[in-house]
Amino acid sequence: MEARIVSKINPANAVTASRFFCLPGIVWAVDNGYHQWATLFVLICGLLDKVDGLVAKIFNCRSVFGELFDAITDGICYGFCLILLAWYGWVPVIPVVAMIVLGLANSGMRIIYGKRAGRATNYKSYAMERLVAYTAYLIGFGTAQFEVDFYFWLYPPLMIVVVLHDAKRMLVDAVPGANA
Amino acid sequence: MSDPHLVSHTVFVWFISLMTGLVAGTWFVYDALKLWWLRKEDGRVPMIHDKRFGYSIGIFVGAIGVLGVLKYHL
Repeated sequence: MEARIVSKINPANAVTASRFFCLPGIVWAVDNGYHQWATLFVLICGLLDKVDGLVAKIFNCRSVFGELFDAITDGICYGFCLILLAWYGWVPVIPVVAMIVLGLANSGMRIIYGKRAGRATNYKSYAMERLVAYTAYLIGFGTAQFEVDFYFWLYPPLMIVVVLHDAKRMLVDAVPGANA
Repeated sequence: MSDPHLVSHTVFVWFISLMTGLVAGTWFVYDALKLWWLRKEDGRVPMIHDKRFGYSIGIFVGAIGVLGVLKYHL
């Protein structure tokens, strides 16, 4: 079956891109110490993350670029928010540094995995998908100041386990359908 | 400039608590069920192994979410 060609400028990617408009609002709210407003902008950003997948389904505009753009947007938005909250002292710094370092290590391993496969591919990690959702929640807990230490300090050990597991799968185990 | 609250602190805290508790609780049950449904599958198959590991992490994350809410209120 012939692959359907989807334009990069489509409704789903527009929704994904609109998430960046939440960032100035979050900066404004955090800078002024408005916890509820910051939480509201984080909620909108998270909601748009769910809506873009739905829009892609409705308009039948799913694409590899769209998935990549979504992942990059996740990284930028969540990474930016975590650094911002740590900068303003709303969340503990050490777990945030651990998250970013482990996240970058995971991204690097994905690049190596793609090279091992010899084609554009992505390792689907069911565990990492769950941790990414946890990260989104962490930002909300940070802005709401809701059990911040409990949620933030439990995250790095869990992420270490997942990154080690995924490292073995991406760097050591055989890649399905790899080019010889 | 005064802090422009959207809602009272009590409403805000209960909104966060209910949202977190409901999502985390649902997540816990959902991943537990998915893990249960895979119990007869061959764990040596990489995809099945990855799914089992992912659902186990999901159960942990769901439990952490619920425990955080309980910790706040108890």
